[in-house]
Amino acid sequence: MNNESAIAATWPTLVRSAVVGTQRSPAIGLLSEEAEWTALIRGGTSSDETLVLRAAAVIGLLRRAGRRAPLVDRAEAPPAGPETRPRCGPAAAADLLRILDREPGLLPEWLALAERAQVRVPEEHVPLLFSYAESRAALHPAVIAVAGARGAWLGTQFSEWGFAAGTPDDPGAAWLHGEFAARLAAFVMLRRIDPADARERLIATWEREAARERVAFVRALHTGLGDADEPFLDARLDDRRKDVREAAALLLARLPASRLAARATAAAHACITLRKRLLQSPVLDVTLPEALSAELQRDVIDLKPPHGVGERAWMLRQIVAHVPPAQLVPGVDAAHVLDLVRRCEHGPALLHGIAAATASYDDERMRTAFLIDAAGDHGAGALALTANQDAPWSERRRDAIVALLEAGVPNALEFTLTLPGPWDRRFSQAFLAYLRALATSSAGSALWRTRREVFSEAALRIEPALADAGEEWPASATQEIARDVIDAFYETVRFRAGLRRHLESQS
Amino acid sequence: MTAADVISLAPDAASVKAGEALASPRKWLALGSDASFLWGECQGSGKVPYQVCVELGTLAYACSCPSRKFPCKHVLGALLAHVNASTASGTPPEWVSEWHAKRSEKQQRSAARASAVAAGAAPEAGEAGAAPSKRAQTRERRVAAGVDECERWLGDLIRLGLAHARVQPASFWEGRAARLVDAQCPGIARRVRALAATVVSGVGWEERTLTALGEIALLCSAYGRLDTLAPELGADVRRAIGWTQTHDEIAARAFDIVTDTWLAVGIRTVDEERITARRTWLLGSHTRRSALYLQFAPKGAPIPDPLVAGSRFDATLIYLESAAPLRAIVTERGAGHNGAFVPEATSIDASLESFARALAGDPWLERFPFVLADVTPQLEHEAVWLVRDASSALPLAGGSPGLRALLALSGGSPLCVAGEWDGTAFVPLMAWSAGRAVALGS
Repeated sequence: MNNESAIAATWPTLVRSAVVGTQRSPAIGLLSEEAEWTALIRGGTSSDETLVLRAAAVIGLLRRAGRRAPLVDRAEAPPAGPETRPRCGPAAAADLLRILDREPGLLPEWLALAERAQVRVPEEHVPLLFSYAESRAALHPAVIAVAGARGAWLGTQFSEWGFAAGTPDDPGAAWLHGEFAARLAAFVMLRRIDPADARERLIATWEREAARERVAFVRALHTGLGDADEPFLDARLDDRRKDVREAAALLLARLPASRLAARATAAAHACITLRKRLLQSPVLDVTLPEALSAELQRDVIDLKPPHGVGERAWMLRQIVAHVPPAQLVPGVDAAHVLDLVRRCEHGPALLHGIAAATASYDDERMRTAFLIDAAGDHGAGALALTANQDAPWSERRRDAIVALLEAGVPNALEFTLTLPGPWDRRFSQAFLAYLRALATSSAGSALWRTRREVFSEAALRIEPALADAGEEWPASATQEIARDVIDAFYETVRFRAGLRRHLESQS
Repeated sequence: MTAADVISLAPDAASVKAGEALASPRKWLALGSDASFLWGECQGSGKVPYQVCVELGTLAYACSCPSRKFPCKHVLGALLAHVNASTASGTPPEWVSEWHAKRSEKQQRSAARASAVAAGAAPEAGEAGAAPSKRAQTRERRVAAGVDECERWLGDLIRLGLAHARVQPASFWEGRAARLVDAQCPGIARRVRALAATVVSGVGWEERTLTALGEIALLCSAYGRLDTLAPELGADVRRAIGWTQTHDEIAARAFDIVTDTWLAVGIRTVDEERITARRTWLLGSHTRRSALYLQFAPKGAPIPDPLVAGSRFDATLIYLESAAPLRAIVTERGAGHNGAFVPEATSIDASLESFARALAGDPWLERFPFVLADVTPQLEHEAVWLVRDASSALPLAGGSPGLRALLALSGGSPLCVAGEWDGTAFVPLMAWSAGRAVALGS
């Protein structure tokens, strides 16, 4: 008998007798097969246990040494396609690793810089990036773009990375043949290229889309949203699923020309009238709606008021939330509308509704009116400002907050964060000046402690080139807590300046 | 060197953060470098600024701060500033050369101390030179008694059956290991301690446990007839039981001296009971010899003079006496060579054959380096195989840290991979793709 078959014959018996124990299963007949090594085991053996241990030593060693690579007959996966972009440099890659490890807030910025430099992530780091991004759908388009062909290939290897599987070069094919995540990513990409074409593709397949996946496609219409989407969205208000109706209503409330806006405006005008008075400033007469008509019930998705709000006041608030702010009181400008509302009955309900409408229609005039009014009702004002941060940069908004900063308004810091990053140079300088003034003031340690988050957030948005100015901070900022906050602020800004340097040197 | 290399030296995440905060020259009173050294003075909370010094070739460092972290944030900060090219070149101040002069001597002492700790023989180190032969005899007696007891214990295990051993509490294995440590057999103790995990390792545990027991039994019986073995094999037996040799003893024995240009083809750092072990696998460019450079440090302390994965340097290695020489110490480390260098690699079959040959020499060999050419990592039901020519394949260890990075690097195309083979699974440590060397994490 040759070695191999003798081992194959002996080993299982040996293992069995060791598991059971030689006490109950004597190892007789264990070495019935003769091979060149059996004598090694037998020689001078006194007991069953020794025999088993020796056999285990010899055969175990033979098995370990003789392990053969198995012959394989696998269907090989097609290799990754060729890359079109160069890798980012080692310094930029090191930045990315640090961001993924402990500064995830900077990832969107790094991705945008890499995209601008037209580089990709070195392939060995793509898994780390994907692991972080797999559950964060908002990052997917940017992540896919810098992951290159290797990213798309990895998407085909691991189901949790399927979002990357669709080749970015051909979103049309991914839309037709991909998995849900890949199709969603492809749809967003198609919307970016040609919103009308993408919408027609969705309408063509709408009836076949799985019910629970429809809401994601409706939400995805946010990209490239326009009046042409209105008929499709309005029809969705009759959908059987509440989440689809909600998503459609949210998008329609971004289109001032939508039928939803017109219906809400008509209903609001029925409740609100401007009464002009002799020798006195006009007032708003407000009556609460009795009941919602059938078509308004279709628009207002959430009929149940939150705790502490009356049913009819809630109806009014919901209706006003769908009215484009400029049309609420025709012929009166935004600042005066707020003034009127503050003095009328049911003011709070109206104010909340206007704030929500300001955010969804992204009404710049009303937003600024709220801001100027900020010293008054901070709650509603801040609400209108913080909502909808993805709205485009507005100079008026920036100027309004710069004015607050320059005037040294105590809560101006809070308002700075209502401006999405990256901040431009003008705004950044105003912020730094405010910060410097604060550092030299006698502001207590409580202020620094409670503002820590404002600064760490501001560090992510400020123009990083300003960090290289190397200006010394006032020596009077002697409080340790203030120094800590400022050091951390500067450290982040400096790191961001590095990100830029490392990626820009390549483009 | 890149920022990532610097960060890999840090003892923990907090140190990285603190080091990054010091990476700006603004934080330093003086920060300079020349071809060999990097130095700086940093104002801490005390009156006298801390002095930091790093030897750039070996990454040996020192800092006058009282931090118990190694390297401290000052060293990390200085290195990070250096790799960001924000240090000014200059002439090293006097204290730098003083430090350097003291270091060589100190280095020898610390290496000897670290190997003593690794052997679990720390108490002995203090009595060095007292009465070596008498102490050696005492150890010999203790080991003989310990090995005897261990053999009886193994016999009991087999008589009662592995199914019985499997349901024992962890203390069953731990207690036996502790007795073996007392008997000054730390090598056997480590193998026994590992059994606690092997018996509950899932499908195939019986085969793995029996194989491990067979190795221990073989070791015990080999010790019993040490005088009949060839001296090289005898050295393997004694090392497997737990005898260690100091740097000086190895150098004095001069078993096998090889001078070559060595490439660090893989590095793995593992935390063991009380120590951190760093395995650096080296491949000689001209001799094609493989070597394992093993370094120890007490847990949390720095590994002295760490090598960087993928680095290439001239050095003379002295192999430890063995029937299958693999472990070596690095002496006379000379100039480093720049640029990515792809090692000469072999097929899976040839690598397995060289492993079998090495096992024939030293049956207690635990790991062996493979440098594999043209292999493609392939995913199959969550498991990854290295495949070559669709005719042979090697299973990769499931928990390897760099599996996905390796797959990503390959993208379905063949590449060169180096790593450790333990007889059942392969742990990839480095890969070369399109002329780029990538360390796969340790």
